[in-house]
Formats: sequence, C-alpha cells, structure tokens
Amino acid sequence: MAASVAPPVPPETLEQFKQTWVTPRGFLGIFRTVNNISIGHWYMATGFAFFVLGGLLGGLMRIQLGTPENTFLDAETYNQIFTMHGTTMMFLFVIPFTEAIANYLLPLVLGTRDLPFPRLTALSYWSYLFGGLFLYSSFFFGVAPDGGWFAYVPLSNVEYSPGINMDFWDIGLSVAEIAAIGAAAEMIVSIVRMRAPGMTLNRLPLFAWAMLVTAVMIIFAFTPLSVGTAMLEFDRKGLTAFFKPEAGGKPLLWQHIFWVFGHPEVYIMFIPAAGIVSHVVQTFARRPLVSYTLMVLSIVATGFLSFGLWVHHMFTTGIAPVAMGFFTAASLAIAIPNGIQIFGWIATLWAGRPVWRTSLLFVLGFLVIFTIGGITGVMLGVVPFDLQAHDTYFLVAHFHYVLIGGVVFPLFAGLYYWLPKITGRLLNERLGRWNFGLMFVFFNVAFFPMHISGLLGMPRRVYTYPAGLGLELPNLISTIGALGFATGIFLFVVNVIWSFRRGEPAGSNPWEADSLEWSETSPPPRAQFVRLPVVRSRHPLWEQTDLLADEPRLARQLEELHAQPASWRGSLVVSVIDARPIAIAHIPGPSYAPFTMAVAFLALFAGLLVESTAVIAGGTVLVAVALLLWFWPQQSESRAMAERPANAGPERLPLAMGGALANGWWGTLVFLTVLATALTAMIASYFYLGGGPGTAAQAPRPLAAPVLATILPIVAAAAAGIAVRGTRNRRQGVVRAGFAGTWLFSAAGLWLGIQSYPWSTLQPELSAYASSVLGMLGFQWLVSVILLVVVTMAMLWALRAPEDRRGQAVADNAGLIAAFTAVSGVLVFLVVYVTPLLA
Amino acid sequence: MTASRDPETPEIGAGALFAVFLGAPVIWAIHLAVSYFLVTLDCNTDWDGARAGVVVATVACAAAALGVGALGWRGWKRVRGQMTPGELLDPMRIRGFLTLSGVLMAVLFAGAIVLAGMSPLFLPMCS
Repeated sequence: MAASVAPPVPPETLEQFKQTWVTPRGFLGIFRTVNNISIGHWYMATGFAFFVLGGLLGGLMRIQLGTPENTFLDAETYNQIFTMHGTTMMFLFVIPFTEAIANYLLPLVLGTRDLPFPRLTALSYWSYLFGGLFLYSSFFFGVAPDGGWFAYVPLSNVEYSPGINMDFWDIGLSVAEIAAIGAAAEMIVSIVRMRAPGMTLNRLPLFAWAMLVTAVMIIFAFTPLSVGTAMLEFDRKGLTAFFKPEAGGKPLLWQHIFWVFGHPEVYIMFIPAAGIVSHVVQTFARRPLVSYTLMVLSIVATGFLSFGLWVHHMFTTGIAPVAMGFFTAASLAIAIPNGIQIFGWIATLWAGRPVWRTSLLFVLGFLVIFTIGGITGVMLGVVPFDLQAHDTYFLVAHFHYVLIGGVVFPLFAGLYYWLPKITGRLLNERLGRWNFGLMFVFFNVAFFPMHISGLLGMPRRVYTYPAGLGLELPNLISTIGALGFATGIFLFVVNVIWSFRRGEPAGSNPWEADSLEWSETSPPPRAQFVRLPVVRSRHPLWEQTDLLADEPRLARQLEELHAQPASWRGSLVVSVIDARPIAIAHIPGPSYAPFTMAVAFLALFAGLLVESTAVIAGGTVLVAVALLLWFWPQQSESRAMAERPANAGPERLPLAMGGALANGWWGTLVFLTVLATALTAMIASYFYLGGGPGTAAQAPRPLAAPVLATILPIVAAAAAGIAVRGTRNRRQGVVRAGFAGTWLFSAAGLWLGIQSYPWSTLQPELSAYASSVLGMLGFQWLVSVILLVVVTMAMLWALRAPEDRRGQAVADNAGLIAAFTAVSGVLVFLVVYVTPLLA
Repeated sequence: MTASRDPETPEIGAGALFAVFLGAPVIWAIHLAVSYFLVTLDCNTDWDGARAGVVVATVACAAAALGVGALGWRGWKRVRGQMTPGELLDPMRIRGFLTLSGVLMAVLFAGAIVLAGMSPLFLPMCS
C-alpha cells in the first residue's frame, strides 16, 4: 500500500512546526543537538569506527599468532591488544551500535517524533564517545588495559597489575556504562509510552520488542557491572578489600558479578540482532513472520533465561556439582526459545517468496554460523565437556561464531536494509554480494580452525605457542581467514562511499516493507510524522489502505497533533497495553547541558585516574553547572505550551505534566530500578563475603545514631509527599515548606549517617566485611545526595516558575526518589545492623 | 471504539495481565535463586537439607508456574470469544495475546524449573 496522504495544513504552521524541530546549525550547534536522527548518525559512525579499531587489533593478534614463536608483538603488547580488542567489541561497538540503530529507528518504527528524553540521548552519546576516547588514549601513554576484557582478580588487583592500565579500563568503562544505562532507560520509556495509536503490544514490531527486552536486560545486567567496577577500582586505590583474600575478600565474587553481567551481555547483543533479522526476513520473504506470538515469547524467555546462565562461565572454579546442574539446565533450556526463533525464520523463508538481496544473504549467513555457534554453546554448557575445553581456542571459536554470526552478520543485514532509509540512497547490490561472500567464507576460514586448535589443547590468551604441537596449520589458516574477513568489511566501506556518490535514490520504501519507518521519506526529516500515523495491523504498510484514523474521536484527538504543537516539541503518549492516546508529551529541545554533563563525568573520572583533587572538584562544579542548565525553567517554552490550539473538542488530550502521565515519572521509575539493582548487588556481595547472621561482634555499634539516620529519610519522604500534594493543589507555601523540610531532614540523615560510622574500628581497607558494610552505607549516602540535588531542582522550579505545570513532574520525581531513599535506608539498616544479630 | 463485550464479564486489569504474562519466568528466577542459596548453605554450614529443600522448592515453583499458566488459560478462554475482527483498538485482542502468551511461558518455564530441580537427584551435593 502507499502511505497516507495528509490533508494540507497551513504552510506557515507547517514551517513553524519544522523550525521547532530543526537541528541547531553551525559548529556550536553540534554541542546543543539532541535530535535522535543527528545523534543516531554520530552514534552509528562512532560505533563503526570503534568496530574498525577493534578489528584492527584483532588483525594484529592474528598476525602474531600466524606462526609459532613469532616476535611481531611482545607479551605485554599482546596483552594490551587482546584486552582492548574484547573491550572494544563488547563495550564500544556492539552495544552502542545497536543502541545507535535503536536511537535512530525506534521513533520511526513506533510512529512517534522523537525519543522521550532527547537530552539523555545526547548525554549517552557524548559519554560513550568520551569513555571510548578515554580508553583508547591509554595507548598513547603505553598503558592500555592489559588484564583481559573480563578483568579477573587477583590479576587485575593492584598487586599484579600495578600500573594504571586497569584503572583506565575500570574508569573508561564506567563512562560507557552510563551511556548504556541511559540509552536503555530512553528505549524502555519510548517503547512503553510513545507509540502510534493502535500499536498495541501484540502489534509491536519485533525490532521494538527486541529493544524493549534488551533495554530491560541492560538495566539488570549493566548495573551490577557498574557496582563491580566501582568495587574493583576502590580495591585498586587501596580504599577497600572486596577481592583481597588476606582481608577476608573473595576473588570469586568478582567472577560472579562480572558474569551476572557477562552472560546476559551475550543476549543483550543477540536479541537486537534477532529483532533486525525478523524485519529483514519478513520483508524479503514477502510475507508476515511465521508465529509472531512465539517469536515474541522467545525474545522475552531468552531475556529471562540469560540471567540464569552466568555460572556456566565458572564451572572450573569449584562450584558445587548440584549448583552446576542448575546452570546446565538453564543453558540447555535457552536453546528452546533460540531454536524457536531459528525455525520461525526458516519457516517464514520456506513459506514465502524470498527475494535474495544482500540483506537477506547476511541473514542466511547468520542462520548457518549462529546455529553452529549455538550447538557448540550447548556443548560447553555440559560440565564434563566444558572442563576439557575451558580456556582453550575451542571457546574462542564458539563465541566468535555466536558473536560475529549472531550479531555482526545481522547488523550488516540491518545496515543493508536500513541504510537506504538513513542516507536516501541504495547500496550497490553487486558489491554487497561480494561483501557478504568474502565475509561469510573468510569468517569460517578464520574461526573454524580454532575449534581444532582448541581441541588440540591450544590455550586462549597466550601471545605465542611453540612449534611442533600441530598448531601451526590451523593458526596460519585462521590468520589468512582473518585478513580475508577484513577485506570483506573493507568492501562494505567502499560500498557505502559508492552509495553516497553514485547510489540510486532509495525512495521512501525501496523494499516494499511493512513497518512505519518506510512511510517517511528517505532520509527522514528531523520533524518526523507531521501527521501521526494510526496502526490497525501488525503490518500497517502491507495491510492498511492508509495511516489515518477512521474513528471520529481518535481523528479529533490526532488532529490536535497535526503539525502541532508548532511552537514547542510535542508528541503523543499512549497507554501501555492498548496504545490508546492519553496525553501529549513535551519533548525537551536543544541544550548544552548533556555535553557539559558528559565533560563533567569525564573530568570526574580523569580526576579519579590521576588522583587529582583539583580535577575532581572541577568536575563536580561542572556537574552542578550541567544540572542547572538541564533543569533551568525556561519560561518562554512555558508560555508557548500555554497556547494550545483551540480547535480541539471535549476529548482534548491533556499535557503529560505530572504523575504517571509524564514520561519523566516513568524515567524516574527506571532510574530507581537501576538503584534498586545496585543495592541488591551490594547486599548479595555482603552476604557472599560472610556478612549477616553470626557477625554481631563485627557489626557497627552503637545503634542510636543509625536508627535516627534511618528515621530522618522517612520523615523527609513524608515532607516530600506534602510538597507534591501542594504542587497539585497549587499551594506554593506548602510546596516550599515541604521541600525545605525534605532537604533539611535528608541532609541531617546524611550527616548523621556519615558521622555515626565507626571509621576507626571498621576500616574498609583492612576488611572485606567493613568494605561491604561501607559499600551499602555509602550507597545510601549517595542516594541521599541524589535526593538533595533533585529536591534543590524542585525548589528551583517552585521559586522561579511556580505557575509552570512542568514543575509538577520535577516535584513528582523528587517525591519518588524521597520514598525510595526512605525504603532503601530501612533495608540497609536491617541488613547492616539487624541481620548480624540473628543466630 | 471498544469491542462489543459481555458486560457481565469482569475486566482483566493491566496488573493481572502482566502477572500472567511474566509470572512464570519470575517464579523460575526465584526457584534458581532459592535452589542456589540452599546448596550454598548446605556446602558452607552444618545444615544438610538442600537436597530435600531443592525438591520441595521445585515442586512448589513448578506448581506455581503451572498455576499461572492455568490462570492465563482461563483468561484466554474468557476473552477469545469477545474479540472483534478489524476493531482498531480492540481491548480483547491484546488481552488474548498476553493471556495465551502467559500459558506458553508457563509451560516453558515450568519445564525449565523441573529440569533444574532434577539435579539433586543425580549429582553429588558439594564435592
């Protein structure tokens, strides 16, 4: 079908609407840009650049291993290169690149105008860029991380990695983690709240389902990693002893934390790829995907099961046999949803009339390679086999089959599929086929022999090997294959350049695809969906005659959003399940705040690296400046929002200004989920390190001050509740008094908490127990500081813009965070002070 | 706008729908955590009841997961006859999707629970 033709709107209104969404121009405009399309371009380009860098590092490794006893690289350089290869591919390429694609495409796929928190989009990008550059800057000083992308302790402890190499890893990764978690929050709220009317959960495109599950997984997987990297860095700085056996710490705790992140990470990378494959398959098979419901369930089930596999990375560490059985069971069970997806795609191709474009060829390559990787994965999930193959090249072969086959090939399929939408020009099909052919053949040439070298006993992470062990030929073949694979990727770059210069115009829907992004022009405008589309099918461009509302009430509601609002950025909010229009969201516009905040984070982390108080202080000041820029009430925008179009009837949609209507409220819930996950990780670490029942002799005492420090946040939360009610009733005096009370009680609780800690007797640098106690208390203090900052912002709104309804959202968020602070305070108190008393 | 629906049929709320949709996987996660905790306790203290504890947890969690599936099946039967083909915002269709999905999830995750719970029957506990 063709996309709907929108009835004309007055040219001046349309022009004003477009101007509202325009990306800031000029050099300085770069630092203010928040639009998902512009940021998406940069994100993808940066991600691809890191892919090339990571690939080059991999190439260097293969040259070194091409012949036995090679001296091309020395051991130290090889360690740095394999660490950065893994780190780059995992943290700087795959996840950011899929998030970049999602940033760009999700609003188009969902039929909305932008992501709900564009400033968070920009912050994620800048944090990612700075984190990546920070990591790579270590090469210039000859101190690149060298302890492996997994940073196992004690190897990564300061005793065995005494330089600042692993500090670069720890700190650089922290910045990238902020980016990943920020982007995840963005995606969750976007998919849950901002869809085209009628796009119920059972009509959600599979790419959106995949990104929703991925984003939730990022929240639960990356947060423990953030906690772990912070613990490791504190250990390295000599402030704590989480992983130091001589102080009661446990190196295995790191492995648990890392793999609680690390195994879901595999699926965090694979699930978006599966979403891409679903779109490509159904488009080029010319028919709907076989069993949409089972495909959705497979994605969701995979997301859950992936969190029950982490111990299968630790089968050789002395885990109890029965416990290993639990994780073997999950490792086998996850093959079921993955198998369902594979059969679903094959059945769709079987039942359809496949058009073998390059994109679909990459999917075919994916199906073959990923299936092989999946089968070796099941083999490795079986304990006896794993005990033999652990830490050999068999494992290297397995995870490259999974990651390149299961992620890189689908990403290339996605690029060939969506680049014409992004650039407006088609890629060269002949070059594309060569690109695919070289990558497919040479991938197998490179990585299949690694199975053999692994079974012959070649250990991974070694910079060379002796001659005469039968490893020469498979290694030489692998090196030749790696170089051929790189040639294939080079052809892709050539193809993109060719496409920019000579590619045919793509038109809006070159593949005759079914989803909403293809209803917009190629490339899409910054002001997307002048008329918001209406969905009545899973395949709107295949099964609908137009994208217009056919119900009078819905039509009237959407008419209010036809090239409107023209003077501020707004888009539709829908109900979670039914996708009914419920409100109009305000989408924040350009701002220097995200860039400033990212610079501030970089300064803070660089200050930590070089242990400079001045740099850390500078970073803190910059954070404050960025926060003010971010939250400062802009009254011009407030006035514009008050000028709502007058043509709406009684069913007029409200502005999403407070409570559960506001996107910010949902974003805050996601943020609190991150905090709750972090607290859970710390509580689990406390018990793992021997805290809890029977430790009364070590527990901090006396109790009076901690009890009061726990009660004060509860009082603060009550005061925040009063203030929030005051904002609803527009009683400014109550609002100011309530928030002032919240601030004072929180600050008092924080001060008392810090004062009451027995610093002289419970020294974290000497005791893992004290480290875990201080970790939980420190978490509570950090949450209190966050609350103080948010309450300060709510006060700012109450004082500067008391009539602006957007202040309601800030107040609501402060209320939520205050409630969380009270609850987490009670929980920390119970764990730290009460559980030791239990027998 | 809404489908023609039996006014006697009670509405299935969003919370109940998500509970049916995601209940079984959550129970599976609880089973894994509880089982792993019991085994760790057994191997690190004088207590040696993990084998029985895991079996009890497995039976309870598998039954709970199947119970969620049964609720989903009831919900599915309730809504499937009320779907209106072609209705733009038919609330029954999405409810049917979520309840039927809950049934399928329950079967998968009950199986995963039983698979994990069989370990103590065949494997040594700690050594």
